[in-house]
Amino acid sequence: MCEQSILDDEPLFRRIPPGTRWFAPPDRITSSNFRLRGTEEGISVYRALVVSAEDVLGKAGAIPGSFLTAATAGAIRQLTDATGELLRLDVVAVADENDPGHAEIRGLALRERSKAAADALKTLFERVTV
Amino acid sequence: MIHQEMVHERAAVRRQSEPLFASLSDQLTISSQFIERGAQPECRAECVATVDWPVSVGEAQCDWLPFVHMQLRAIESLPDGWDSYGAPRPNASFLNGARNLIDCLSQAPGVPKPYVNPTRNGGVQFEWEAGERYFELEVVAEGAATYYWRDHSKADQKEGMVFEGDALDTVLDYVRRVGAS
Repeated sequence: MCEQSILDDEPLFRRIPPGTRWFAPPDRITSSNFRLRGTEEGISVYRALVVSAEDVLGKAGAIPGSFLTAATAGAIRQLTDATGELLRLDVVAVADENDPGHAEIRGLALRERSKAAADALKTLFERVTV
Repeated sequence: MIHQEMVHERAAVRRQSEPLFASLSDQLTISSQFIERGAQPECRAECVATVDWPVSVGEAQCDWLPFVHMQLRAIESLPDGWDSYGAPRPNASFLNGARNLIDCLSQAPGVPKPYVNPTRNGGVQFEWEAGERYFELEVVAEGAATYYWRDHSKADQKEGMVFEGDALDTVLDYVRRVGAS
């Protein structure tokens, strides 16, 4: 496990599955894309300095037609809720030899701020043209 | 898991309190609304037969409902791993809850079409967004949903939970506030 620090200016990718069968419009980014599942500790992202956009879209298990969104680690750490209170999110590296560049957005597990955090993240992450 | 615990806890409380709720209730239920208003479109009959989320009396507003039902059917067919991050396929009972809930909301006046999407925990989420205002309603069990309201222009946000049988006035108020922006 690589636990190196991620600098504030480092861009991160989040892959979004295509919603062509249920969305209108199909490329809408939703807070559901940034909500934790079950016992997850963080939301998976990939470090753009380590893996390319094409690599993220081509990873095993990636769904054809997925698109990429991106934000910097610093912007994630500075996110606030609607009242201006800091959400205290962080980004940590969790990569191993089988999954280079993998990192996670942590701090969404607290129930009292998970919805506000997911909402802030969906607003922050912008679509990347690959 | 936390939501599930809350659902079970609330269900136990409701079982103990049912006679009291019945005697104190001054809300019109979907059923009584249907009886009062006479013949209604097909989508209303389905709602009356399956749910009991009280809403205020209003005009029919379900022109977008068939499309939302199509979206829900598409969501129902998603496989495990549909999000490429290991999400389970949508839970059938959660989908039933989502159908019932949106059927009831569609009967109230002034409710615009929601965005509809699956959640990573097997549920369904309805969203309304316009400018700085945003409201989401996430079905987390067959008879329970959590909600989140945010208005950046007023530095305002609110979270809450509604259960089957609860009045939907608060939810409708938020939905309409989004639409009013």
